[in-house]
Amino acid sequence: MLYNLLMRTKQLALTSLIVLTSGALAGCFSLPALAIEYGGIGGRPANPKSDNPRTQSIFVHEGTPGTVIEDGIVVINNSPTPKTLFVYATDIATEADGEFSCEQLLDTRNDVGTWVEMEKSEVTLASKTSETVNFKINIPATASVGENNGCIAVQEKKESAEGSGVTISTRTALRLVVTVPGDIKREVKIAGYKITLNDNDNYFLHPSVTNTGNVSIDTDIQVSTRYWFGLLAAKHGGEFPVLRGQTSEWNFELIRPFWGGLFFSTFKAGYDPSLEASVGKNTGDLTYVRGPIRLLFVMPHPIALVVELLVLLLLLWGIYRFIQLRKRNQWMQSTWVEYKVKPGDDLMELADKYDVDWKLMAKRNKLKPPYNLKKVATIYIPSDKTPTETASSVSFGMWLKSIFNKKKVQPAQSTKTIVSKYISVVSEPGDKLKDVADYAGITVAQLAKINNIKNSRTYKLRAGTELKIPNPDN
Amino acid sequence: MKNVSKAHSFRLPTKILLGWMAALTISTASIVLASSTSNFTHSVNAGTLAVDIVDGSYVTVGSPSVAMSATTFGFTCQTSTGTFGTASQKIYVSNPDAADNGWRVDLAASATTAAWDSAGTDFDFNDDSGSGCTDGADTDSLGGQMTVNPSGATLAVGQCSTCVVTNVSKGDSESYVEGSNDAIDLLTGAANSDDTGDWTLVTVAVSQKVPAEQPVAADYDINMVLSITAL
Repeated sequence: MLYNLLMRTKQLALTSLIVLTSGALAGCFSLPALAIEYGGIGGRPANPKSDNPRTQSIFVHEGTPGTVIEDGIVVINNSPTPKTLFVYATDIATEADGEFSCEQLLDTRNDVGTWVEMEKSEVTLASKTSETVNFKINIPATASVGENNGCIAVQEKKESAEGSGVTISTRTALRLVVTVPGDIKREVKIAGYKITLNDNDNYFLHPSVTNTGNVSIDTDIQVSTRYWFGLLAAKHGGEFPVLRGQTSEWNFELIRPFWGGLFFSTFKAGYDPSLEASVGKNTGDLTYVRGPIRLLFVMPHPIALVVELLVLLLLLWGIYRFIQLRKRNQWMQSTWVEYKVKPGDDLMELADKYDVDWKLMAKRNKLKPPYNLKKVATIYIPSDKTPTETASSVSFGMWLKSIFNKKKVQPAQSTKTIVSKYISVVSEPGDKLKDVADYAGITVAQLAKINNIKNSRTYKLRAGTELKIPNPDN
Repeated sequence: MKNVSKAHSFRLPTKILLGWMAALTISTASIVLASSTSNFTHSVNAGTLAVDIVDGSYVTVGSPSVAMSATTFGFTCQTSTGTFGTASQKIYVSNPDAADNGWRVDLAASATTAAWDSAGTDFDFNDDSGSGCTDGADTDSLGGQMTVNPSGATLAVGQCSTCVVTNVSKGDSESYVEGSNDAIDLLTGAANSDDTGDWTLVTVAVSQKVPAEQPVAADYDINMVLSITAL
């Protein structure tokens, strides 16, 4: 009995495994549900022209007054539910910024909107279906030469909602261009350029142009913003249609540069002036008109400001040091005179006698350690005994402190009125501490203490070592 | 005693066989093999340039709306504010290669003569007289003005993984003025923006001047139309 139970359990498990595996494998090979993720409602031109790709998106026609042009719009419902849609023609309205918009269903038509006769004003479409609605464009006898614009719109029919604040309905509109041939003029002029601050603490660049012609012009707007030294910081732009007689202005957002600075911003507008050009057709030769240059000073981010101030201070200190060094060199070149070295002359003593830093004297005379004058015939020494500043004695910190304390920093220098306690001597090859101590008239222990030498017995004095000894003049 | 040492030959039990066949049949029911060759057909409906209000899953919101902050009856002009475009009601633009030379999204009232309405007591949305607080020389005798500011809104790519917001620009803050500024631009896609792409826009600031002594009512409403135009 137990054996039968085990066998049945085994069979059941095997069956389940086979069923589940088959189902999983089959699921991998079953047809996936192919669906458009989003469609919405709208329309497309029903009869695009093969020689003008623009007619895939909008309606472009040409005709003389009195002509009747036939066309159609494919009204589309790609939403998941059936829709009743209004289909209507309307005028173009020009807004305050020069851009145009399509007037509303309930607005009175006075212009191109009156030229169009729709086959029907409403269509009801099932989900994922479309229908072509034909229309006629009756160009009136009084139509002006040049371009005339209107719109064909598709809008969902909705009951007006009440008591719920701002209620929103949506529509899609396609521009309708009807050109009456004749004396066509194509020209774009610069109208202005301004820069404003927006709510995000960034900048809006507002180039504007005026179409002084009688047809719309697709204008290539190129805005460039450069650092004060010429490097390109940002580029904005695009191609936009500007209707006849209109001034259009755009908004391009310039993100605030982190480091701030001074910028030059300008723009140029390119258009095809050829009379062979039209909506959707260009000859490729663009003419550019240039806008004004605007200066823009941007405050840096606080962190950037701190870094920039530090760099500026370092730069200023570098300039100060350079000037000091230059002054010193000029002084040495112009005032130092030749001195014939006498036996027994010592660099330290001479430097002290003429009130200059012994290192400066060594540098001027290109002396190297141990700065021995025995083999030197002549050296240069200052012709006057007026002490002068040495640039190396003014550190960055001292200079910085002088700026904030408004006190002139006095470099460390010896003057005739100040007698230093110690003077420096430089050891020669073979010198020992005892030799230096004897020279100074002190003990080795005293010499070690003055120079912070811990163990004078084992200390090995090397040639060229600078040691301090008591100033015999103090 | 049962002879357990007897070797068992492996034969697929009948029940297992039947179960296997059933599973295979069920799982392959979507494939109909009418003949030796199989034709798979599928149609792609033509896409259309469209603007809509969608939720976080890109499902159309049935009755999109913008709630404005309540104001208390007062003897001075007041400002009510709201946000057009939220996480649950995003402004959504879809261009499935339908507008190759650019597009523009704007917001306008259903008519230039529209107004905030509540059972006979109205106020205007496009009168700039008195900084938007009083009635001017327009076609009605109502004061009030609405301002829409998309400049601080957040523009982002929608469901398209390869699209960018480059060459799509937001509009500037503007107020409605009857007859001269009846539609306010929210977004403009230049000719060199992605021909196939989708984008969302949220946090468009809306403010409305409410005239002094405007009667109390809880159901002021106005119908607006969000349009996208192929340029």
